[in-house]
Amino acid sequence: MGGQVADVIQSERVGEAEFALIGHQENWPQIAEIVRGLRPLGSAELPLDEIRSIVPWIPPRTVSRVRVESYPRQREAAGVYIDTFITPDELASGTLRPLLAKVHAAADVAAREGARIASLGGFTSIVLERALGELRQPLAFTTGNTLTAALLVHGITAAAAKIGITLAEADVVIVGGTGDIGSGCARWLAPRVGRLQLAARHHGRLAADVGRLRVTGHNVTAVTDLNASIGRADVVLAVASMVAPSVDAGIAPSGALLCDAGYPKNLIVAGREPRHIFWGGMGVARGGIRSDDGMLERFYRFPVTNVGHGCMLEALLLALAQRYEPFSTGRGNITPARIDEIWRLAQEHGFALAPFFNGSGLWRATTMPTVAA
Amino acid sequence: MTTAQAPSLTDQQRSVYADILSQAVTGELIGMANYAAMCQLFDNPADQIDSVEHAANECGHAAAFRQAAIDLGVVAIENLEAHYWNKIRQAFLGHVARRDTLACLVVQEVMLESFAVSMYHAVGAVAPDPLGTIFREIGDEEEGHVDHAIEELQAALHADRDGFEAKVEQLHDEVMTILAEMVAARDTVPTCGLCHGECVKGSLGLVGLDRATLRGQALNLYLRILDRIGVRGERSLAWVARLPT
Repeated sequence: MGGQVADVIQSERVGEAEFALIGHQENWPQIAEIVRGLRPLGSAELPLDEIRSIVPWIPPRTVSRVRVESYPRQREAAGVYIDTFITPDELASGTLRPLLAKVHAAADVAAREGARIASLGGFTSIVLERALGELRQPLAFTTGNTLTAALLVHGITAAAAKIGITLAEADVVIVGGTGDIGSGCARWLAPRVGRLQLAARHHGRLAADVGRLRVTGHNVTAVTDLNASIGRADVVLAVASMVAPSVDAGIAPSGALLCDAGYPKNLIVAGREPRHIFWGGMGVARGGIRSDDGMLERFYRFPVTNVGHGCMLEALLLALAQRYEPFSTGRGNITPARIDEIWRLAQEHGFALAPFFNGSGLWRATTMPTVAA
Repeated sequence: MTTAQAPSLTDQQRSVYADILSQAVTGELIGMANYAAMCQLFDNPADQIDSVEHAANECGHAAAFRQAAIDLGVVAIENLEAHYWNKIRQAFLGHVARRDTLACLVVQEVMLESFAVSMYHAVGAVAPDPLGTIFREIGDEEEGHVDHAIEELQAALHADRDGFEAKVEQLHDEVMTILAEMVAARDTVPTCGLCHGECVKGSLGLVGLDRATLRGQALNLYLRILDRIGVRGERSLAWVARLPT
């Protein structure tokens, strides 16, 4: 696939998109469902091993044309969803180079579509977070992590209030606390919670981050025993980069609030009543997000319409605001002020928290939470 | 493009390469015949010369593969009536009869060449020299044909995007379906007419190849060529999703 960079130079410009959403799918059952959906009715069922042997070869490409509207209506923006076709197996392999090649090829597609801003969702944000290979395309790239962080902290605030947890007294654990999103949430939550515990694989970075937050007088500690910390937590926010769920959330106290924002998911919740677990970092565009062909909805299935991951929604929001800028880039740059800024922008254009849901569906008797800026 | 010493191979590996070379020689002869047939579609002598030169080029490739088989001590079967190749040939001739130059170009330069280029590069990467060199060199030459055609096809797409994409879709269903059947896990016919014994697909591992990877590489190149022409990604994705496996 070495010719992909050269391809863009000689390729035809396809469209006049304003924004591009670059992403990938989380698991094989989801991919299999998409492939089956793409095949004509009555076609022979494709076994999963066949799907696994074909999908990795599909070059990154536009799979859906998308429109979003502000609410109340101020503006409409058109764009594309580009799937990198990075597979769960490729993510698990730990071999970075071919994955980065796919991200760069997807960025080429965004440029060819004429996009002025693109968000790099899920794994693909690594290119911006770790500055892995310069993106030379003539458009702005954002990880979308600031809006994701905003949706997470406001989601936790709203969900905690809903189930009777007083955040100011709560023991909050952030798994993936030194990552870009995790550290952004930590900075925002530190002055607002009873005790904040950060868990991370990188001990050096963890000690440094905890040290910085403690200097400001907040009750912040590093997790030394994750199970013990989760076993005592009132709130667990999981936002780590993992190839598969591996954090046992079943040991959390009954009544704890669990928020899983991993992509792929972080928490193992088998056998537990999922009442207080929600998939965080999700927002809703009240003005509507729709794809011309229904393909976006096929790639991302949620229990309610107009919902998307924060990382994707950030590009939509910036396009609606005509702010074609790399709003979220690098690692560790998400400050409370930036979270508040994107949240104000979100509210101006009618973006809000998605109704709380998890793998079992919507939280019962849940209406759209309203959260003050 | 002369070959030197026959590479050191087991009889089983030699047998696999014999079947691969049978596909290569026959495919090149089909290409030669296709370009020769296209000659009648042009009024302009320059285009006619171009078409004849392409045919001669494919003929040269067939001769090189034929010689490679001789150097390897095997026989390459040359069978233009072989099941899949004959179906492709008949489809192509239908477009010649309709004087549809654009369809001929898409079938030959995009569909057949993307399969040829990816297969040749894959074989070139595992075959010992001088056999590997032959596949690599011919693969590179065929790639040049594709580059040449892309500019022409981009112009056609510019003139009428929807019409162009509709035509490519119809050609995809007609021709890529046959090529996909050729590399599918399950055959639709008892024999393709080019293997010496049992179907070679099950023995590709003996020379470091495998059917699924060959198919994947061919689809990858095909889609990238369509992308370069400017076909919308969501359209070509839907087309490949319905290919037989």
